[in-house]
Amino acid sequence: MRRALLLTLAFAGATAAAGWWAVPVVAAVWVRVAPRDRAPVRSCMAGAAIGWALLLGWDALQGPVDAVARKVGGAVGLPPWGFVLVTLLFPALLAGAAAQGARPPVPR
Amino acid sequence: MRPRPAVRAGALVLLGALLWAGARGTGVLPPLGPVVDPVRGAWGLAASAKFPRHAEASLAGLGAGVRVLYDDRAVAHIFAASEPDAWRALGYVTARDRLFQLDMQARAGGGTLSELLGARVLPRDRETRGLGMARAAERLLAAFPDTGETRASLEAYAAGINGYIDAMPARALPIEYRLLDRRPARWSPLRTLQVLLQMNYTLSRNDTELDYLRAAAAVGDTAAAALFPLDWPVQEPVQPSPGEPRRLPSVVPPPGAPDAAAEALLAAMPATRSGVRDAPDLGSNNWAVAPARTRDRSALLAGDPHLELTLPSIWYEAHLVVPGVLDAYGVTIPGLPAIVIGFNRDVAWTFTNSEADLMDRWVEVVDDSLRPTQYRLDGAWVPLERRVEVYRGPRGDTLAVDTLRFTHRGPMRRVGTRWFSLRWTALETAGETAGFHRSARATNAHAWLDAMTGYQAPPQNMLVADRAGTIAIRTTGRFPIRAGDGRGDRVQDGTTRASDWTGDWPPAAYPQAAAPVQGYLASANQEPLDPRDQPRYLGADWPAPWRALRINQLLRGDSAVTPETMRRWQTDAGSARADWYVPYFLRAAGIRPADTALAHAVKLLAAWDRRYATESDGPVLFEAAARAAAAGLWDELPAVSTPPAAPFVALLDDPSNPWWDDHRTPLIERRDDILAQALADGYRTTIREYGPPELLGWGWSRVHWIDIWHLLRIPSLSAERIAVSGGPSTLSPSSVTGGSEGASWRMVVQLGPELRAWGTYPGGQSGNPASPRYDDRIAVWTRGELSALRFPRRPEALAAESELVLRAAR
Repeated sequence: MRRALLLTLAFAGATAAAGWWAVPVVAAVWVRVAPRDRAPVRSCMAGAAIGWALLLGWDALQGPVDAVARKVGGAVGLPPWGFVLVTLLFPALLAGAAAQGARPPVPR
Repeated sequence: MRPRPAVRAGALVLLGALLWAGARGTGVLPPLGPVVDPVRGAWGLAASAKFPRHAEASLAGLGAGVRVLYDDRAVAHIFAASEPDAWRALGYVTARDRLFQLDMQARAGGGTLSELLGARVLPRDRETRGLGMARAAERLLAAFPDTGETRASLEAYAAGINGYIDAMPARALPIEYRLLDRRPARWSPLRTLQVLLQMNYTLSRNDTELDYLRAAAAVGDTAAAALFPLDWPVQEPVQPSPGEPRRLPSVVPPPGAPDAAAEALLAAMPATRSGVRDAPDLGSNNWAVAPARTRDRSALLAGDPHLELTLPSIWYEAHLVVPGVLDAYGVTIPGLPAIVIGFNRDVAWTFTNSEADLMDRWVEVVDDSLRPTQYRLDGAWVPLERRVEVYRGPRGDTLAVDTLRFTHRGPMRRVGTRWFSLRWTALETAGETAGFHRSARATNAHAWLDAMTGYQAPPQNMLVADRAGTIAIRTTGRFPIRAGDGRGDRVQDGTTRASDWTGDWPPAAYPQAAAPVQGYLASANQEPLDPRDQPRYLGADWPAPWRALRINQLLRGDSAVTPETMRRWQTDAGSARADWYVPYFLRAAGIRPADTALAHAVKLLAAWDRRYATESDGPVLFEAAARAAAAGLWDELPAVSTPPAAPFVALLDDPSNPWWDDHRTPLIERRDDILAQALADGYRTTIREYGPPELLGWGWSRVHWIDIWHLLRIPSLSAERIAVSGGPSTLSPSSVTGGSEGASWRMVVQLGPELRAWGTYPGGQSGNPASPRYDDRIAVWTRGELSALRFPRRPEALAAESELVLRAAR
């Protein structure tokens, strides 16, 4: 549990510090340095999505994220919920792909 | 478990694709990363949707600190110690609210939209630069004195915008830049001149010469001249004219043989337009009432400029206070450091566009029809000035290269196989900002007009009122004097200097009136002067007089006007055009054997109160009938001709004129045949489109609405299908199917002992679509209401919702 929380915070913190492209970097590092994680790809996907959800929650405290979802989502051809979904799927897929690609070649 | 190589490879491919989609976008989709990033991406717009209660920023170049207080309508009240500081702060707050719009406006005027939006807007950039606008902005800036108040204001404003761009947090980057994957361009005084030229482009282009050629090629020169008359047969000019509207004798000669010269010239040109004009008559209104005709014995002024409606709005409301120097409130155009329409403690002012002719064309003889280097002038070959324009795309790639050529008159353009040069006053003036600055400090109406004397383009009907009770109006601008017959609505011979402009009207000759006996003044883009009083040609493309007739009718009928009356009139749904036309239709139907459709149509039209109310059926039928009547009348003209409505009005009083005959039938029709048939046809057409009126009702709002488009025409950022009252030629005019033009700023000012003002525009102060201030005024505007404008003398007098303190950067 603590491990999952740490991973989630790592994704959120790295995104806040460096931007969206930090997500695959964190995932790649995680699969290399977290030897006892039995399902590191799934952990990374979940951690990235939840990490970004936390950041979205923070945004919601700052202002009208529903208006952003409606208007910006509409601008890219998505319904509001679709824009939220893409916002969570994008880091999940990024993290999952990076974790899968960076998994160590030796079985543990 | 060791991952299988195929799975690893698949993951890496997916990762690559996601990184590509995140950084570069896919197809029509923008780069995903900068959009969905919850910290720096579009979600950050939520945090910047509302300004904090208190914020501080440093701004280089300020002489002293500036307080900016935002009121409950998000209007910035700027309290500064000097004018340059005020302009610098205005630049900063305008960028804070409207950064993308600033960029778009300047790019539109400079012909660099394709650098932002790509090749799809290249034709527009070519048009802009082809008109010489980019060259003109550079030349005008070079001619500006390096010192002086105006240059200082342009520099300060630019520094304010750039100060905001430098300080802007990543998450506040406007959404448009994220969607386009671009960054804002830095501001400079050149860009302010480009914005001014863009306004000229919007307000003062005309192509009467080409319309006339098309008509002459079809029906001969004499008939064409009558189709494009210099003056309307019904007159209520801007300058007060005693009594009721005047009717001028007007004869429309029958269609004649095609004019060979016009045909030859036209054959060399591509057809550019089609269809008979549908009486759009969009335009602005203003009026003022002297104290003697108001209930509270204070002068009243109403401003109501009509423009294309966009989100964000063309206007940005602001209040500038420099103690002892300036205390002015009103609307600015993002990009222009000036209160354009507004008021100070003593004076209120507003404009309508004058449709005077500022743009003439000459047909040139050149040495090479494809790549000319010289043009013929007074028997000699004169070298053409050349300028190479390079159009770049968003990534700096070259999209196109044009070589522009200029005669001594201005830019030369190839249309078909002929070359035309163009002279346009807008390309030769840049002093407008100075006039706005001086006039904002005026303490009475005459001083305000004096301050605006140097204003040149686009010419405006400038209406002003002061607290002493003076009301005045002057059509101000640069009005060229033409050679020969003095007219500018015909293509001139370019081979001789004898056809050049010979000078300008002196300001003393501008149409003007102050403190009129009738106690009110009004303009609605119509002819400034009664043609019988006009010394020389001013223009030939005047809008229909219907709005002017209606305003004057309302003003004549009320001798105790209140601000509330002024507000109500701004959205008055009555139509002088319908008042004029409907009796002709009803009379025509009365003398013709009635069929069922005609009988129903007559019943509906007779019952209509001639108001374009949203629920009314009458305007739906009337407009259909008017369209059918125009089509029946102008059957002799080819589809490329677009005759204005003036000859239609003249022909209504000439029932057997051959123009009325529909040459597609064996009969010889007269006016009443065409009008009765048009009424019946209009009824049938409307039934076909909307069903029987007794079933659901046609309802004007079913066929007529306003769309307020976002600058990039993104539907989710726009406001669509807004039901509004008003139609062609009402005081809040719009074309039959609506469109996206309308009242861009409504203002009423009462110049009593303490000035009071009300206003609104269809949009909001913020350019951030997530902000409640993005479109919060649309509902107020749609209902025809106005909001009270806060006009505090001191910061302490305003209950501010938000404060921004700008400190001088060390």
